[in-house]
Amino acid sequence: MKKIFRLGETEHACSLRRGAEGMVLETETGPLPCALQPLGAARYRISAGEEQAEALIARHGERIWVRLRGRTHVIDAVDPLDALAAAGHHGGDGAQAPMPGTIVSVLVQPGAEVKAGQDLVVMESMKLEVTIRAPHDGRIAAVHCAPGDQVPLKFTLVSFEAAT
Amino acid sequence: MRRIQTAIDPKAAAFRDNAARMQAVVADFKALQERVRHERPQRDIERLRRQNKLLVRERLDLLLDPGTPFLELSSIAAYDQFNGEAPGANVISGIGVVSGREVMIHADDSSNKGGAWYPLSAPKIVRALEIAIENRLPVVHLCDSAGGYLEDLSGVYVMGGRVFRHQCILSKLGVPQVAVVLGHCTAGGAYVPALCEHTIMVRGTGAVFLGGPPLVKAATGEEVTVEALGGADMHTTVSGTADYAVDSEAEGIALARELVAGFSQPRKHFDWADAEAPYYDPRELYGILPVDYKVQFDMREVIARMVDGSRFQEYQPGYGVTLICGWARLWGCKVGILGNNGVLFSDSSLKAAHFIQLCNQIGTPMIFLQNTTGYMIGRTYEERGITKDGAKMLMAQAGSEVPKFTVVTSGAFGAGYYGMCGRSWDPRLIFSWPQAKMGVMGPEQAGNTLADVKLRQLRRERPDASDEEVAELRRRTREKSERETSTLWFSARMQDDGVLDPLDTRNALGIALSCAANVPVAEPRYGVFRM
Amino acid sequence: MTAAPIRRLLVANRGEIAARILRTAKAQGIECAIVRHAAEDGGLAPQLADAVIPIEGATPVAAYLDVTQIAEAARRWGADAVHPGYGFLSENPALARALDAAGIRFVGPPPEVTELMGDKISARRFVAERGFPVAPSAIEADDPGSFARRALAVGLPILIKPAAGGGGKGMRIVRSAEVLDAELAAARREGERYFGDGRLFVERYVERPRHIEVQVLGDQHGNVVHFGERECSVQRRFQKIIEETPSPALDAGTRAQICEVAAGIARAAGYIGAGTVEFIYGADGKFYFLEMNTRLQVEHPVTECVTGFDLVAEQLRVAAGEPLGYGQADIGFQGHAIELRLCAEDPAQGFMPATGSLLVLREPAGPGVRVDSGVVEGQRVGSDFDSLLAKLIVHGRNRSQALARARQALADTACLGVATNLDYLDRILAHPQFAAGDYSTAFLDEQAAELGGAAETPPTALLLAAAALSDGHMVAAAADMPRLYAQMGAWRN
Repeated sequence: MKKIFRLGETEHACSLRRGAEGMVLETETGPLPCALQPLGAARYRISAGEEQAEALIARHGERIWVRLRGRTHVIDAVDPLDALAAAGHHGGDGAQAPMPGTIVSVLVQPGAEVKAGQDLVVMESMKLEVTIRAPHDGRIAAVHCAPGDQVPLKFTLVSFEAAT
Repeated sequence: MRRIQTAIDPKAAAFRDNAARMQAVVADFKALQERVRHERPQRDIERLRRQNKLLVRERLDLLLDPGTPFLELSSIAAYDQFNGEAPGANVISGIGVVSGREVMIHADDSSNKGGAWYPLSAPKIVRALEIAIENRLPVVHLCDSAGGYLEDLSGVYVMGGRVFRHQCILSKLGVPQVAVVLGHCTAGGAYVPALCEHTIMVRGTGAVFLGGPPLVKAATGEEVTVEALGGADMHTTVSGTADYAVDSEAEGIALARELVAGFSQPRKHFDWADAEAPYYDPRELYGILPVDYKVQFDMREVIARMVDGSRFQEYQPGYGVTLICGWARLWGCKVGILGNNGVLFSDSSLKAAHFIQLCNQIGTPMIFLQNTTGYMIGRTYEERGITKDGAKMLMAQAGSEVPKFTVVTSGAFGAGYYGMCGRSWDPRLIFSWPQAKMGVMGPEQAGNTLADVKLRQLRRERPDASDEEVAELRRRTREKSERETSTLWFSARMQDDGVLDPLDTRNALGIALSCAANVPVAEPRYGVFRM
Repeated sequence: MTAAPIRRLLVANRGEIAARILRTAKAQGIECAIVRHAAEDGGLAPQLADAVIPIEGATPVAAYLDVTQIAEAARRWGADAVHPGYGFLSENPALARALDAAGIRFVGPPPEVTELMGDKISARRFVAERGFPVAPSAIEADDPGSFARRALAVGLPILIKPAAGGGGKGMRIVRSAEVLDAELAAARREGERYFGDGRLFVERYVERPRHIEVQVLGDQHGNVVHFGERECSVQRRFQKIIEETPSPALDAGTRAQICEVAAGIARAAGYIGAGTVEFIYGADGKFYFLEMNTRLQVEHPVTECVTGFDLVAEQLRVAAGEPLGYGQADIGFQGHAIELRLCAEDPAQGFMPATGSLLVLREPAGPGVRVDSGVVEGQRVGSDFDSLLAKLIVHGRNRSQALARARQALADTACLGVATNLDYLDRILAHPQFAAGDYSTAFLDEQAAELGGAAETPPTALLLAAAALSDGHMVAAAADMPRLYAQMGAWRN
């Protein structure tokens, strides 16, 4: 399984596999035989290549905390797909009406910076109120609807600026 | 299981001399393979870079699990045909590990003629899918082909359809396929992604349509862009022909990895134990294998450098001694091995027929190590029934249900090639060694026979032909015969699954066995043995 | 006033100080209650208390600041005393008055004393009038119209401070006259925002100052003693994170002088209870009264370590009406103590408060090591309260032993799940300037680059191995592969 580990400012693309003896982490600098032996109460013995150390390890979601040799380290695990998908958005697209209906309210203005998942427009159709959310991070180029407007299916409600 | 006791002396001058010559042959083959894989017109590479496309081997590196093997099949297909325009038939096929699962990979190589399908491209893909069907291997298609080779569409047409037929069979068997559309999939090629369980398209470069924009314009006058006609967004939001639109090749391939991770891991059949490296140094194979196929060698010495711990349980060591039979483990998998140690006689044929049935009785896969000039000929042998005994060997083969694997180690001639499970006898995989020779007859025999026929023809037409002309005809005929009995010649024509460095054979067979272990062995059922 | 023992004590606080107070009170056989807002994960203190009284408020902080509610909680539970800890209502005379009306004792000075000494402006006027040293200053309320002019007359650089509040909020250094108006306006806005009081005063800014304070204690019978000084100059954003006693900056003469001044101020104010007199100590060896904190200080444990007194116990005795029963000569000083404040904050992000769950918490132990913690493993740390999680206090025969024990204590501490200043504290201790005792309140800013740890190289290979192998999915996926490929590796034909 491939994962990107973010350690401070650096990203390390890694892949873990079973090796002839124990596990091998494939890193940018080559294969790294490694092992993790639990010693109880969040304490572990880690070995990586020639190095060995005892450490406390805790995980919460994608974040890994390691207390090692008197320092606390935070590593964030990123699925390569998430990283690639985030890198791939060039903007220039828009948010579209998922069904024909009436605009209830518009929650953003041109020029606004929005985050993925942020509410953009509320519309009503078939007695349902639907909130249209930002498909990705970006800046709003234009808003093409106003409250009360009737819009057809796939009408572009809000368009995004192309990333520079 | 006891270890084979070697009789060779690696320090002997003859051994070292042979090793040097064998290594040179292997080096020549590797150099050829390297050219086929990587030698590309600069403008094609530049074009791909301009299009933001990766080279096919870069795509493979992204797809495969780091630190795991990849067995490339038919690596030198088509290298000596089509004016060198289709090295490897513009397709890479092979077995690799993706998200921990063994998969068959079909990747179009667009660094040459835009990845156009030449007459050997479809057979290469078809063969890959055949192997996938037999071994229940999920398939990842990395689609990037300009379409059928326009100069020889008739050569592509019929076999091309079998690609799609095999895809349907795989699906019917419940073996999933993933396509990543990294270029245009036009006309028939459009069916490759359409027939996959999962289809990913890269925005901008990936497109799928039965007819491209120029064809549409010619046929109906409609003007339409590539993106609108068959782009990733259209197919994933309007037509539903594809499932996922992504923004980069890397993202598409990462998504393919995620999808493959969701496939179930097949249960392995056969008898597996912990693997053990051969006791004897496999590099000694170079000294053991004569460069000249006419020189005899002891196949036990080859077995000793391929199997686990060099251990071999030899069956009937005193009977039918020109065929060695026995059991060993290879990468931990118990196998039955049949290896030639001379010409096939009646007793060796009967021994083979019996051993094949034994392997089937206990469900053990078989490996055939070919070094055969065929079945013994002559009055005495005919009277003893060499033909009907050879027929028994073939009948046992045909009734066999355990997977068979074949390696052409040195010579493979005549019916011996069939009896020892040549390509025509459906081995799951068949590999050849680069110095080996094969054919209906040996190269000299074949050359002389052909030369005689041609000379008679020449003399009939031009009785005044000079001695020089006759000599030239003999030379040309001999050369042709030399060339066309080479395993490289056969491999370039997809008559095997690839030429291997002898040292790579243990791993190749290990991968082959692991794949074959995905499928339970059926009960054998035999025809009538002529007794 | 007659002495009456405290039997039921309500601790109107939370976190480490609540736990600290509860430990002393319970050891004396006092029944203890604590208040808690429903929205907070209370940590250690509620586990130590005999009763937990829910309090309500629009925000958790508002509940702790609600005088009526706290006093009512104390009355209903039948408390005969309330300990306010520090912060919240500890310096709010309204609580003392409300409790007094209900016949409940407030563990702290009487409201009049708090009003006099708790207000910075009145306190400094009081202190100056009695001849104690005060930095040149200008007070807005004296004559708002001429404030700016008077501020400049103090002599640049000057420090603008809000008349109310503390904790470094609203403080601004002005080095040139042009920016004075803008800075005054900004400080006023911050004062209004944080303390609801926009009044300001300015005082001469002492360059590279040290912050030295003296612990004092007075009883209801007119006895006042001091417990020596504390050096609190290791500050980020005007907030202390490391304190030690004795101060490495003071010679015996100055020490005696500053402690006497502090005791004199307390005596003059008729001070009752535990309090702290804060001074600015300049590089020129002069010190000025800064302010008085009419409560227990966060850093009181270092004083406890070197004097052997339990200051909370002394507070309770004083509140119970007992006389001190000892004089200044009875207070001795043994060795050196250092306190390290472990905070949920990210030094790399400008000490921004951090939130999360305390997935793993390990506290140090050993000779001379004391931990005043308010948290337990598994607890959620939110952003509603101060970021202080725990204090590590070490005591040694001398400063170098204390320093060595402090570094070991940090090494033995772990706090995973929330960003903390743990490693940052260690880098401060490791800094040669700290080791030499040669630092001012500007120390952390001046050495920011080095203390940021940029020079440290993380053990990348070990960390990547830990990250990968502690991921069950990743390990399971890696193991889920036909066995021969593990040995075959990246073979290619």
